[in-house]
Amino acid sequence: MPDSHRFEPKTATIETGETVTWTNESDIEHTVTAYEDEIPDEAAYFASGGFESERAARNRITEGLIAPGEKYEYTFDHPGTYGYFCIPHESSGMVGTIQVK
Amino acid sequence: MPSIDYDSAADVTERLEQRLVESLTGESSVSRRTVLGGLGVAGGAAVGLGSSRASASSDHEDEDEHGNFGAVGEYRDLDFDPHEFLTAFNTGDSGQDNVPQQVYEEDGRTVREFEFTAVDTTITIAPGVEFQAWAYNGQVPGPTIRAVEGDLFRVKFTNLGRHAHTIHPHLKNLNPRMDGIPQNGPGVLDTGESFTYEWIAQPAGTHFYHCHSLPLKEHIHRGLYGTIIVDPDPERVRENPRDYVNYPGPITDDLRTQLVEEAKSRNHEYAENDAVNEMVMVMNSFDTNFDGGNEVYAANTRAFGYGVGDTDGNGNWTAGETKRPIQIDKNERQRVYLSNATEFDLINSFHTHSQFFDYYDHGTTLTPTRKTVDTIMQTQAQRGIIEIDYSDHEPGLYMFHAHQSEFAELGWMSFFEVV
Repeated sequence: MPDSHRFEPKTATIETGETVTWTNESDIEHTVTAYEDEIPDEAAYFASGGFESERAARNRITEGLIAPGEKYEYTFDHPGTYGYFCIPHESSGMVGTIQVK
Repeated sequence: MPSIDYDSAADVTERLEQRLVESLTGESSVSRRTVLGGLGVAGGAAVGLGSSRASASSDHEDEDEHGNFGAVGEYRDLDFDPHEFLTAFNTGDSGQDNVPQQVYEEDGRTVREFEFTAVDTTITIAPGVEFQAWAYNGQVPGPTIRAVEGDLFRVKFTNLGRHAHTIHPHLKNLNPRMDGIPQNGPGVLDTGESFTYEWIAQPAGTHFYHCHSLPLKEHIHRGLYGTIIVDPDPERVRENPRDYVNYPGPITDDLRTQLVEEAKSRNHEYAENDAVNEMVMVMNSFDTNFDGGNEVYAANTRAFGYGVGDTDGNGNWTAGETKRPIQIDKNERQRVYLSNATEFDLINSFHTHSQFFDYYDHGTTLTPTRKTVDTIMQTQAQRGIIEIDYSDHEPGLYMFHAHQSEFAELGWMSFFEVV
């Protein structure tokens, strides 16, 4: 299902302190998982499932899944560029960026 | 040539690696992560029509290039270290963090239970070169699972990936529902579907598993394969020694004792097994431009991963660098569980320099099927056990590689460092 494997919008720009809400509008499960080496140094790690590292998120994929219709939200407290992906669909192009001004 | 100079070995590895990366990326140095694959460069053309919507309080979006991070030649892959993979055996008792597992008794049988998930993951196959893989538990090769002959493998499989997958075991499996093919049992598992496979661990040996979805060649070369090890049960060997030899002569008491001892050395639950340094190698390859031919070859995914990197010449390798030879203790017996996952090419091979070894095809016998050889070949899904003794060799670097020279120069060239 090619229409079920992307973040829309792929890049979102917000102000520091704002919250991004991801809603799963597809009929399959996804994750929102930060790339540990693609977030600002001073920023905390984030991932659906509440993991503290990318390794933990990848190791326990099923705990980070967002079911169809469910939401995940995260508040960005530091400016910078944040790269993130969906663990089950990374190589299908399901990657995104949040720009925090 | 018992050993070669470390610096020149490092130079050659570096040169070959650079040539390989250049041929793939067209760049003389990899200044950004290069993603290869049929689905397009990640961050380039949008794949699909959107679904997980980021409802951000933003009023503009721009399609900026994802992936311009990382230093030249850096491996960003956090989760796969080819050196860790070598000795990562999942037994239910212990194993990798990304493979939830347990062991328990049920109806008089030991059950080794594993959770497998299929995902679309991006893996690093050469410095700065990524491949859009499909992978069991996010790794290529998939996790190595291990049991004792007669145990039950229970594999709880969930497909989270975009395409339909299965797990097909090369075991003597008595229930067609459990064969993991599109035509039997649950058939292929679509995105979000689960199935629990149960396979009796038999026969003793080293075996192979892979996805059997169509088109098969794509599902295999994308990375859906791994190794199954079934340790022989020494008590069963004592009772049925003839099952473990390809030899028609009399089974003397001496031979029976020898076979039982060999079985103990193969069985991870026996102390005799601790004296052997065991390694898993899967010969694999990657068709990075999806033209039906491979551009990169390796043992365990990483081109030149067991090549020679930075060293002080005394076996001290640069910290954090995954590119280094496999260090082995000359006084330890070495055992390689080798299998071939290579797609498109008819065979692959394993050749040791300055060394001869014993080979046990499929690992199903306790006496070698090929004795004192320095080269063996395997077709896809063929596997076997290689036993090597370096006790009389001088310390230093000893090469091993595919003796398809082309494969060797495209990544499947490795070293043992005997110390």
